[in-house]
Amino acid sequence: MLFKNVLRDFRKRLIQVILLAVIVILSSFVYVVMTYSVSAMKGPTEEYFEDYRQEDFNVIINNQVLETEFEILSLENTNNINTLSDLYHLDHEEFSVVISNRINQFENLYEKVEIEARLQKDIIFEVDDIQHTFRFLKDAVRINLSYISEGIKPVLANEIALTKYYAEANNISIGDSITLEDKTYSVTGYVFFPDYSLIIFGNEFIINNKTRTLALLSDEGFNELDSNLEVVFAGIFTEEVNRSQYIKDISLDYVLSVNLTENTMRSGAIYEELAGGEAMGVLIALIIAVMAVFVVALMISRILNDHKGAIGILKALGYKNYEVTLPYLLFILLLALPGLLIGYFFGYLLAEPLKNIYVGIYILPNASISQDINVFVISIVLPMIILLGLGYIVISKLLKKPPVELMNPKVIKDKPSKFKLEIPFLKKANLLTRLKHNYIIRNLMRFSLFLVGVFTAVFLILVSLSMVDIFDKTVNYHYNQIDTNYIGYCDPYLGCGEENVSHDSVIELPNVMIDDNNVLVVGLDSDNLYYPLFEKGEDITNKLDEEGIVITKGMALTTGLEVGDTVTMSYGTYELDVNVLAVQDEYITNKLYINREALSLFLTDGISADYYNAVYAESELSGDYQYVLNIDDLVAQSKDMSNLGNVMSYVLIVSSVFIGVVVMLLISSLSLEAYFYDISLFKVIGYTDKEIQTVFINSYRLYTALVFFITVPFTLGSFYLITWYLSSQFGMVFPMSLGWLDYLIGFGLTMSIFYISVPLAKRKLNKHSLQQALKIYEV
Amino acid sequence: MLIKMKNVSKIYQNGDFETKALNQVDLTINRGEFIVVLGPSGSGKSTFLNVLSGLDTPTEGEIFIDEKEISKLNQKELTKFRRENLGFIFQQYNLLSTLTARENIELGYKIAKEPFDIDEMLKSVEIFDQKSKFPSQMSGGQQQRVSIARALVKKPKILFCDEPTGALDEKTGKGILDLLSQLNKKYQTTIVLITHNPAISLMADRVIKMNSGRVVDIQVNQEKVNAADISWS
Repeated sequence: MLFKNVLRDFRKRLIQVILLAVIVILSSFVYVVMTYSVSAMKGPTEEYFEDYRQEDFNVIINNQVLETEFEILSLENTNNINTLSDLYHLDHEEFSVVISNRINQFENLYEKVEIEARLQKDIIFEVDDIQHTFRFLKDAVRINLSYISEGIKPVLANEIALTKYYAEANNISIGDSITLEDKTYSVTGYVFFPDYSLIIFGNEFIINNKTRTLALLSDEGFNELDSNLEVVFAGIFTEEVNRSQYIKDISLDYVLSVNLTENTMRSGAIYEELAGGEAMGVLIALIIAVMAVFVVALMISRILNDHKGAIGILKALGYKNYEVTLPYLLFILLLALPGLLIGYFFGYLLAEPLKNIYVGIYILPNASISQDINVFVISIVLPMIILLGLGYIVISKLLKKPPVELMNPKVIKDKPSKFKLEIPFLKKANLLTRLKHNYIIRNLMRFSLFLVGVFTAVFLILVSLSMVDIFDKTVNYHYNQIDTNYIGYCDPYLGCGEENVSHDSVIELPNVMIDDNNVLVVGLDSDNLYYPLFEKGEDITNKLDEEGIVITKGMALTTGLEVGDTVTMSYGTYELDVNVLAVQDEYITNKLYINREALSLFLTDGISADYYNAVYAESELSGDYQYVLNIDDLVAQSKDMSNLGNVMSYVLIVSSVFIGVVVMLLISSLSLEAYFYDISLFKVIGYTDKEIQTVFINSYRLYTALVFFITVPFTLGSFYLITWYLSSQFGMVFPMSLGWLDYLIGFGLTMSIFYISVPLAKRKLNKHSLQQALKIYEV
Repeated sequence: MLIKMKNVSKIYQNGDFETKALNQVDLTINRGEFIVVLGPSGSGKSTFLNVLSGLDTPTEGEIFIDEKEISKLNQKELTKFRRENLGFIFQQYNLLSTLTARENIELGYKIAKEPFDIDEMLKSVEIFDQKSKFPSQMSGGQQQRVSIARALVKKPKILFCDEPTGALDEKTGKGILDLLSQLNKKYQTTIVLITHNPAISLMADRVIKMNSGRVVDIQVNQEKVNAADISWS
């Protein structure tokens, strides 16, 4: 009999069952899809980092040949040697002497580490008016070893290996030929480097794996490449040390900065991404699972309440407790198991495409996704055990009551305190107002489900809204403010050639240290034509006339510096105390602006005020430069990332509203069922449908709005934490913020959760019978 | 004349089975009358009350209340009609447990055009001193008095009572019946009371006896008996 009853209830509560199934599916799906996609990246990534000896830290070194180093060189003529690149191109052996000397200094002074020089060259060229950048990394011997995933390592001077993503995006296959700077290379394979899981070059936060690639040549090929050589050091700890303290203590005259891998965006962001992705997946799945548990508990207690009489009769007839319990456990099984299995199936199915999104951003080897017994247990077996356990507890509690009590429920339970539940600030409100609030908060579990569900939805909506166009805000906002379209980088020691196009002369000086922060210093003239500075939209370019620096908003967030602070700017052995004059509206990395003359004097020991190493222009440059950066192209390159980010944000917004609507529908359905008798009574007395709707449904509108306003400060707090974390860990600033339009849209979307749910709830309300409910009235 | 039923039937369809819960009922009820509808279980009493009061619609026939054909009203119009003209009392009192006695009465008061004063109603049903108590703190008889006050406060023309003493003991039940009788006289409210207790029929102006969905007899009481004097069965 109970089996039949249980099945009947299944059909009777079909809408609730479907809504619950949606929640259960979502919970299992989110967990499975995140876990499988992340683990497909995580395992091979960790293995790859270990096998190919990823650096533990990197050392930004002065690329000038130091005066003391000239003494150890055996070259007769060193007039044309200024940089390590000059030396490298002139004499590899002498170059090795300087590098070995620096490494020896390092390893002698600082024990428990192993150091290797990382040699790199960049080539920038245009394909169909789009700039492509190749970063060639010389094959390392001890640290950051190259990994060829397909094909073979280049052996000959005209052989090359590329990242697979770049190759595929540009229709290049192994065996194809490509031409770079008039030289033709044969592609021999696809390569990975453990120190570049993100292809980020320079200071711009631009990730576009279709136009930027890492490349490996044979040693001979690398040596022949006629580009400027950049040298950094890669380091590995050979013994356990306090890493943060260790790198803080490093002080050598050629060392500009030392950064741990986990704090280096290009190599360490993946750790946070994988951990964060997994944690986010588990957290969201857990929140949804908690909601599912609430719903199951509410439904089971509702059903048990309806079945009290039948259970009493069975007990009176001599049925054993387990015989009575079994059908209800079967009911829970039917409620949850299909949803969990469907969620698992779709999660497993969609893990591959999600993993491919990661692969489109991170350059990492990945494994194919295979099923894991642990994931199956956590996503299906564990929730089933929890739900069945919970159901068993609720049923057992009821079965402890004697049959007579079950068969003859009291009309009104002796719990007056429960009935007095009132909201303090509504004490003086009119009867219907008090009633409608009372109906909402009376059942704490249902109310909690409502709060958790709507809060989660609102939080995700607001976070998603803040993420819309975030790449544009981070990268493009600044570029849209300036008139510079082209940046020509001159050879730092040969200087800039003649330039006929109207331009500003600028100094760009990377790797300047301010406290522990590695910053890019830009020397600008206050009367420059193409690069105005702004603070909160107001032109502050003339601040460059004053003594001091203008820092970017990104730098202000990273360092905590404020206007009026004094800091020491150091570059190698040069030091300069400067005041912070203003904060420029720019989120791009750690960057500051200073008067060009002042910077020139600083760099030339007061000898020259006219030094510059780059030109900014609005029109295309005509001179001869080391390379020219096209800002429009830069902005276009960030578009792919921006579009991907926006699509994900919109998907998250729609999913959040969906979660909110599902929860709201469940809540309204469960509460309309719970207040069946009261609703009938209101109808019989003569209350109109509209009045009843006001009492039983519309009050959720107010609470939905309230949850929105409660969630806003919480969300802003989380923005602050995320911004602080990312800026302190990676020196990267995401301007997570909400404008008045975002608040308006967020509020609209939040309220849409209510308004989408109302018609369905109203339909259920109108279906309530007038006279049937009043036959057996129980409270 | 207040209520007129013409050839009213109510048929419930359950799969292949058809149940005639009301079978061609013709009846007239006058203003201010105290009517008792009597019959065994399954005789159609509850269906009679539901259809007559507009809680349910007849399958065929016409029902007029004050010249208004309620059997042709849609749900919205029926709600308005109930709100302005009818009061209901149920066997299980049907009070809202979160509200005090006074607040339960206020529920009826709020939707009436010209309601009685709530305190006056509390005094009329003799529970003024209980007005701040919650249903759980009151006896069954007291709860039924609150229920009566809630129905009467909006000055209904007709009061429908479905087994109002069904859950009460003799003494309390008689008290409730006495109260209904007094209110019938005091406010000239038409009362239609359904019961399976034949003793109650002695209090009525007319007794409508039902069986198998039909009105089998209408008995007019020349002399009504007080509630206190009826022998409880």
